[in-house]
Amino acid sequence: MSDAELTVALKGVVKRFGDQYAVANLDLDIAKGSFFSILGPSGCGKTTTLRMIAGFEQPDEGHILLEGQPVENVPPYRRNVNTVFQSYALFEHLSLFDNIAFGLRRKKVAKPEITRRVGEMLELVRLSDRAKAKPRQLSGGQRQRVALARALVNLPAVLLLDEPLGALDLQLRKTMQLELKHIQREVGITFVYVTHDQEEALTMSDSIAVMNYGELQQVGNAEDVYERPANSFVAQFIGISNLLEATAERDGVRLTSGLLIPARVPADLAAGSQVRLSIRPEKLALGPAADGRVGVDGTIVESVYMGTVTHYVVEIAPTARMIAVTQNTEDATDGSRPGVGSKVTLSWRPEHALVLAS
Amino acid sequence: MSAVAEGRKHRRRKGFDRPRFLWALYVGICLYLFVPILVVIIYSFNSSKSLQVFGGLSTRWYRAFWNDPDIKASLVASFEVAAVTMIIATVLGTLLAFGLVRARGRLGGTANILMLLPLITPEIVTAVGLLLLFGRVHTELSLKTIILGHITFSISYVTVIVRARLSLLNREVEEAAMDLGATELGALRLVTLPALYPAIGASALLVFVLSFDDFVTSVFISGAGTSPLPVRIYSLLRVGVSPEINAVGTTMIGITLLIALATLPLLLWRRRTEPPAAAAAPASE
Repeated sequence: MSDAELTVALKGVVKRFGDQYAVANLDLDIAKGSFFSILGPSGCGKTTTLRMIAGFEQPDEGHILLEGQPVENVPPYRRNVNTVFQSYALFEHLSLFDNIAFGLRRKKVAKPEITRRVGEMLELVRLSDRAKAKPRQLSGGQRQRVALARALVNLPAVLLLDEPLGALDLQLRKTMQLELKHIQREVGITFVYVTHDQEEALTMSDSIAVMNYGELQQVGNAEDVYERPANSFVAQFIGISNLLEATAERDGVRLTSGLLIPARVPADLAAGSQVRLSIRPEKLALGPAADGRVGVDGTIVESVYMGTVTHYVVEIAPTARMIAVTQNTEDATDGSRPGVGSKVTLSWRPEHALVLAS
Repeated sequence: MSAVAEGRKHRRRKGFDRPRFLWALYVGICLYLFVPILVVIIYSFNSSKSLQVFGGLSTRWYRAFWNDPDIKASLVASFEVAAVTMIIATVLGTLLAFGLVRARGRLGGTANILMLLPLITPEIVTAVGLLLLFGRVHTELSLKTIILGHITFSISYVTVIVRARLSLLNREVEEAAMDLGATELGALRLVTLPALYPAIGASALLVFVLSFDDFVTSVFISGAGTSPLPVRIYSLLRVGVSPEINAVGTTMIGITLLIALATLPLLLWRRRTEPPAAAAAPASE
C-alpha cells in the first residue's frame, strides 16, 4: 500500500511512561475509508496509541503520519482528527446544537453552513428534535450519539473512537455497533476504533490489530485473526480455543502425556521446541475420523446442553482436555447425544489444528 | 424518576423518624438564633428613642443613619473593601486551585496545608500578626491594609470551593475542546471556566460577605481614617447605644441576605449543569 492510500501510518512508534513501555515499536498502516479496530486487554497500549494519533501524547520514538504528513509537531487542535471519548466528554453547559457546532465555530465556518451541517448531523444520529436540549437531559445512548456527531461534523480524515460503547448496556451496545458501522459506510471516513471487546471488533471491523503489552500481535481481517491466529495470545484472546501444551516434532506435536497428534508444524518452529496446539471447539466433531480427518480417542467428562449447541469436555489424555461444540441440528435427538463417560473419537480437519509458538 | 419518588415516600414513615421533641428542639434553636436579629429589625423601625419601649412605626433611624456622613462613609468603605477583596481573592484563589489540582510534583502537598492554615488559625492571631507586620514595615494603616488583611484569609475559601469543583471536572472535556480545534487557552475559556463559574461566583459572593462583616481583622488594622462599618458600629456602641445602630444593623442584614439570595441561582445552576448520576456513571459494566 502506498502512503497516499493510508490515512494513518505509525512507524516504529515507542511510548514509555517512566520505565514502563506503553507502546513498543509499533508499526501500523491504516487504509483510507476503513473501519480499523485496535483490540487488546486493558493496559495493552491501545488507548495510548489512539491518544498519540490524536496528539494528546507524543511518541518517544518513531513517527506518526496523517495523510502522509508527519505530525510530531502538530498540536491536537490543528490535526485533521477528531475523537469520540470514552466518557463522551460532552460540554454540559452547551446545548446539543452548540456541542456539535463547537468544532465548526473554531474553524470560523459561516453561520448558515454551521446550521446546515449541524442539522444534517442531528438527523444522522436521529436527534433533530433535541437540538436545544442540554446533554444531561439525554440517555446514555443519546449522549453517545452526540459525542459521535460532534466529532463527525468536522469531516476529519480520521475519527478516533475510544471504547465508545463501553458505558452502554448490552442491548444498546449491539444496536449501536450496527449503527456505527452503518454511519461509517455512509460518511466514508476512516474509523480507528479502540476496544477490549473481541466480539465488537469482529462485528464491525475491516481490519483488526491485536495488541498485548504494548506490542502488536497480529493485523488482519476478522477471519484472519479468528481462523489463523498468529500466536497463542491471539488464539486465546479472540473466541475460545483449545490450547494444549506440547513439544514440536517433525510431523506433529507430542502432548505432555506422550500422545502424538499429527499436525503441520510451521517451518520456523524447530523440532523439540515448546509449542501450543490450538483447535477451535466448533471445528471438533464427535465421531470416527474419515476423509483424511485426524482422530483422537477420548472420554466425555462433561456435557452441557445449551439450546442450539451442546458443549462437551473430552479427556484425550490424563492432563489434556478439549472442548467440543456441536450443533443441536434436527438429527441430534436426546438419544443420539453421547452421555458423560462415553468413549468417543474426536476428529478434525488437519488445517484446523494450528501449531503456535508458546 | 418514579423509583426515586417512591424511595422518598418510604422514608417518610410517620411517628418514627420525626419525634416531637426534635420539633421542639428545632423551634428552640431557631428562636435562639433569630430572635436577637428580629429585635434589631423591629426596633430599627421604632419611633421612640427607647430601646425597651416600642413607640410605633417610623423610619426615623434610617433617616438619621442616612444623614450621618460618618456612617455613610463607613458603609461605602465597607463596600469598597469587600469589592476589592472579592476580586483579588477570587482571582488568586482560583489560580491557586488550578495549581493545586493540576500541578504535578511534591510542592502540592505543602501548598495544600499552607492554603488550609488560614481556615484553622484563630482570626485574632492573624489580626495581631498583620498589625505587627504592618508596624514592622512602617505601613500606615488604612483601608488598603484592611484589604490586604481580608485577602489573606479569603483566598483559602475560594480555593477550597473552586478546587472541589475543578477536581470533579473530567480532563477529557478539555481534551475534547482541543480535539475540536480550541487552543489550550480557548479550551480554558470555552469549557473549563464555564464549568467553574458557579463555584467561582459562589466563592466570590462568600468572600464579599466575609469581608463586608469582618470585625476582628478590621478592628486591629484600621487606621485613623474612615473605618469599615462593623468597626464604626462598635465604636458607636462605646459612646452609647443609639437606636440608629439598629437601622445600620438591619441594613447590613439586608445587604448580606441579598447577596446570599444572589448565590442561590448559582448553586442551583451548578446542580443543573451536573450530569445526573445515571448518565455519568457507566450504565452497566
